[in-house]
Amino acid sequence: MGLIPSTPPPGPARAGFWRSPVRSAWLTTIIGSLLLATITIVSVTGFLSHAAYQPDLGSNALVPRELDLQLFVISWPTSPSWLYAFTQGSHVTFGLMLLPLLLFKLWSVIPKLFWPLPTTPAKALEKLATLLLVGSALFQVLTGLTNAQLYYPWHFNFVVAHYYGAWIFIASVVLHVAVKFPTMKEARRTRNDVLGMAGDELRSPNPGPTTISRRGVLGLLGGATGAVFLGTVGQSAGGPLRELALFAPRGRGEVGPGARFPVNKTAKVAKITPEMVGDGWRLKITGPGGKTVELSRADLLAMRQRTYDLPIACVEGWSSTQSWTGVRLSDLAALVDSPDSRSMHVVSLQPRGAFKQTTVGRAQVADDESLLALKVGGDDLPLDHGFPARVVIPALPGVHCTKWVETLEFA
Amino acid sequence: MSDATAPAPGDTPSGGGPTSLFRRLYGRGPFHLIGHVVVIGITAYVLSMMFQARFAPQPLNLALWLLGGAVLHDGVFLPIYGVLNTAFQRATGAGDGTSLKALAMGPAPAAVSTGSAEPAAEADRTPAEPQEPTRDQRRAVPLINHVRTPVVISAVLFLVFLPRILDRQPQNFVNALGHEPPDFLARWLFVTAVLFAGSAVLYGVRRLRS
Repeated sequence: MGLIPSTPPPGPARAGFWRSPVRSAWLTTIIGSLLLATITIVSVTGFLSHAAYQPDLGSNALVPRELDLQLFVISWPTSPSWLYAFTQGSHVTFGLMLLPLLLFKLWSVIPKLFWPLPTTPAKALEKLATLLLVGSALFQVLTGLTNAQLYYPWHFNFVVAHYYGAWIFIASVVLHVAVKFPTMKEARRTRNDVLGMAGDELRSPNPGPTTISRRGVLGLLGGATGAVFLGTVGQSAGGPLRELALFAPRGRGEVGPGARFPVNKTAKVAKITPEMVGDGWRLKITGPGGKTVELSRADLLAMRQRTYDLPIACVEGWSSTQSWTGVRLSDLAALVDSPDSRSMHVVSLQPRGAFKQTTVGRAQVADDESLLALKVGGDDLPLDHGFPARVVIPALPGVHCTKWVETLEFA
Repeated sequence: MSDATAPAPGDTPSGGGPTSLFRRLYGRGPFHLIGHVVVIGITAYVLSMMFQARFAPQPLNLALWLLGGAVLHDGVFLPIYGVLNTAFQRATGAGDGTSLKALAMGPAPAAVSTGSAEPAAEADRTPAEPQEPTRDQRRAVPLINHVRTPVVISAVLFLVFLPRILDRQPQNFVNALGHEPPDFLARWLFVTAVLFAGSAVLYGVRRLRS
């Protein structure tokens, strides 16, 4: 052993410090399997969230397009209309539930990050992999949950860090499951064995008195995870659950004066003034052949109006289904001789901001339910919701449903 | 040095030949090395993008966020749970009287099989069995879980929703949503009170029945 002391210093580094008699490979396997299922949901919906922003179009990409590992860029569909509300609501709700699952999982194993010191190259690599696994897991969960709650206590680009952090996390999880799979398989078989699994490193060498059963630990985990679920899920699921979403920032639908449903960014913050949206406002539409049309709000209201119930769904997880009335995007495209548009570039009146412009694809322009909305719930759009006109497209992220529209360019 | 855990995929039974030499030098089979090299390689490549100055103008801040959680959790928070749990058990008489000092020093000699010259090392190798609860312990209504349950659920809610519960000057919130936020701290205190009250009522009912 030489340089490496054989006895760790007093305190948590000694295995005898960890006395809970319920710790075992079996318990960790159960909690780990629940965690793995949740990680799978959150990872898949996370990559779908990246794809839903259609980073291959226009200037949509938040992670610069020349950077690698952007493998799941698919053409985003418009049906079902609740698709993004569902995937992003799941990403945020299950993502928040990851914190208790992760804390219980980490509690269930005696921590080995600092001790014992590695005695072989293999153990040194395992220790580094553990640091990557735990570090990236907590990084993803903590940056995600703060961002979803409109709190940004860091000095780096959240989208880039959260997207690439996911790759470290997923790679580490895959390796960890591969290394531990034989242990998991064996531990599952030993559920009812009195002696448990042979060589179970997770058993305390110094067990304390039994105060809670394994079932009790799992019940407590269920209670904690369930409380987080109930405290959030209503912000996307709606219905009676919305009343229970006590902790979701937009959960119970508290809104400012005249807003009716949650606002992501007020007109005041976006620097939209009443003059900009007054009688002088004109919508400018251009086509691929250079044809340009300018329409007032009265002109738009004189066109054929359609009404659809569509959700507006935010990347932060909340969504709200409203009845939107306005003109079909395909009708507007026809005005500038662009019956089969490949894409539509939308520019807002707002002078600054990442989402003052956006580009949507062929499916989004062509869908019958894609609207330039003029009214919501039968009334004129409130200013904070995009008066005089906003884009509403089924299954598209809320930030791409541009408010205070100034220009539509069909290509 | 023998490894007590189950073999990793790709490990082969030890024997002669190059694999045996590799295992002696490295400590595990070749697939273990390949897997770790791949993950560390992906991580290095990904970090080279995350740490570009245009995304992370303060690289130390990003590094702290990436590593801080793991180090703080294993080094500070997890030991604190253990100490709090033991302190609570001592206070309510639910424990076996282990002092915090004994906890820090490792297994009490009585907990380790007799005859060992080196109790701590022996304990590291031979996990002892959990003690079965005695008849009295089984019949008594355990107070500790009526405290643990509301404490754990309330603490988890606090951690998960900490940004909204503690952000008392939520300018981001007001700017974005156009109104003052609800009092999330009051909501959390309310839920915590309900959890403790519910648990206390349940404890009372169980005491009366036993």
